[in-house]
Amino acid sequence: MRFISLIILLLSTHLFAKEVTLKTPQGGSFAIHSTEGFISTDQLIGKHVFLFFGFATCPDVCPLTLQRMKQLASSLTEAERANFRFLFISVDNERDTIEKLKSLKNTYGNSFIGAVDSDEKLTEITDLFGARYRRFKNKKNHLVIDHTDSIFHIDQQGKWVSTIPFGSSVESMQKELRVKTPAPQIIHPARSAKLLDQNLQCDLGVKPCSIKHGRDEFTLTLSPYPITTEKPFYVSVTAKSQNLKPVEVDFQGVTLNMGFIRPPLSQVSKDSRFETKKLSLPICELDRMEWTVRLIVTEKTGKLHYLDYRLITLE
Amino acid sequence: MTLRIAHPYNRSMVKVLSLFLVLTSLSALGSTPYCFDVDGMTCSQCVKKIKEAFSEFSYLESTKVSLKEASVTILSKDSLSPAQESHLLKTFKDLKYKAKKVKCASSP
Repeated sequence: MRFISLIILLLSTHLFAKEVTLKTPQGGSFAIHSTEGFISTDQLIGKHVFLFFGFATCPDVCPLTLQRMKQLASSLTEAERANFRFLFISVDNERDTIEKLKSLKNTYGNSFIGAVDSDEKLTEITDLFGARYRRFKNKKNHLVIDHTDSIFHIDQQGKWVSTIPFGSSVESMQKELRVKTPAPQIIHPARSAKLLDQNLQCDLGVKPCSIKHGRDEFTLTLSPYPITTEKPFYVSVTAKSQNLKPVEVDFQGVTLNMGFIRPPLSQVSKDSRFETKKLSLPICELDRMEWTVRLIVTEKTGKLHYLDYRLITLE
Repeated sequence: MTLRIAHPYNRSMVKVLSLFLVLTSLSALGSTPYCFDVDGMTCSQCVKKIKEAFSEFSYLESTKVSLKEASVTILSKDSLSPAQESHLLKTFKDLKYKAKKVKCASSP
């Protein structure tokens, strides 16, 4: 009897796992402890907010970004500056305090708002934007912090309108503020999709991998080899199918949350070849990182399905 | 003219000899690892920064950075001269990391 229950449980778990909800981060309002007190993003409506996740003792990305923000603020007119805020959320709540962030405000001016909160709150906020952060100690017991390095632009209506890549120039960010960017239309913030099939034996890091499902066949190729975390690459899909069209490809860290990475696929030729734009995966502390690469395909009716592939990136 | 090796023992010997020759030449061509304990690598950007800096050295084959182990392993095409080694250490210093050369687990 116990054996039968176990079989039923295993079967139901298996069937349940076949349907997933594909969530698309779309920003949203939040409140956090900051250098201006407990502040809600609703209070910042009417201002352009550039949101960044970092930490005070960060040696490279944060000082460079903070410096660019300072330069950007000084390059703006007085009226523009009054309507611009740089919201620096520290993901190092072990060492960064509001007092410490206030000292950054002295350096980086009135446009700067420093904020820090509990891990629960930080995760809630990073999830809104598909960002990630992770703290861990190295073998010398020193704290290492990994975090998303892009800037999230929230417009004067409180809508997340764009993601500015790390290292963007002051001029491009100035343009970003001056030219009205329409908020992206996220028609389906959460959609359910059913598993069609999977091929977890083949490693996309070294060769193309195919999945045959009935008469359909989908071959995924990442190039150029070898696929590593810091090197940009392309994803291409060859689809042999009458009814299903590839739309997106989603990269998920198997053991670590690596944030939202789901580039769209565009058809590049009549022979059912689809490609993403150039993308790169974030670096993590693992020497060997395993990813689930989920190919999302759609029926003509809009019903979604997915196929799971595997990728291993080596440091 | 083709060389015919009829005896099975001779065939095995040729196989062993070929394997020996391949291994010897591979070992002669093999890279030399140099390992460093590195202080100050506190975020993932450090990985990019270090790899980019060392990619400029034509005599290096690859650079592996481990944030967790606080270490950098560099593979060199040949053995490095003392001047090249100190150049590597200076590069770490210029990047604001404290690096110390250590014995690699797999070094000769």
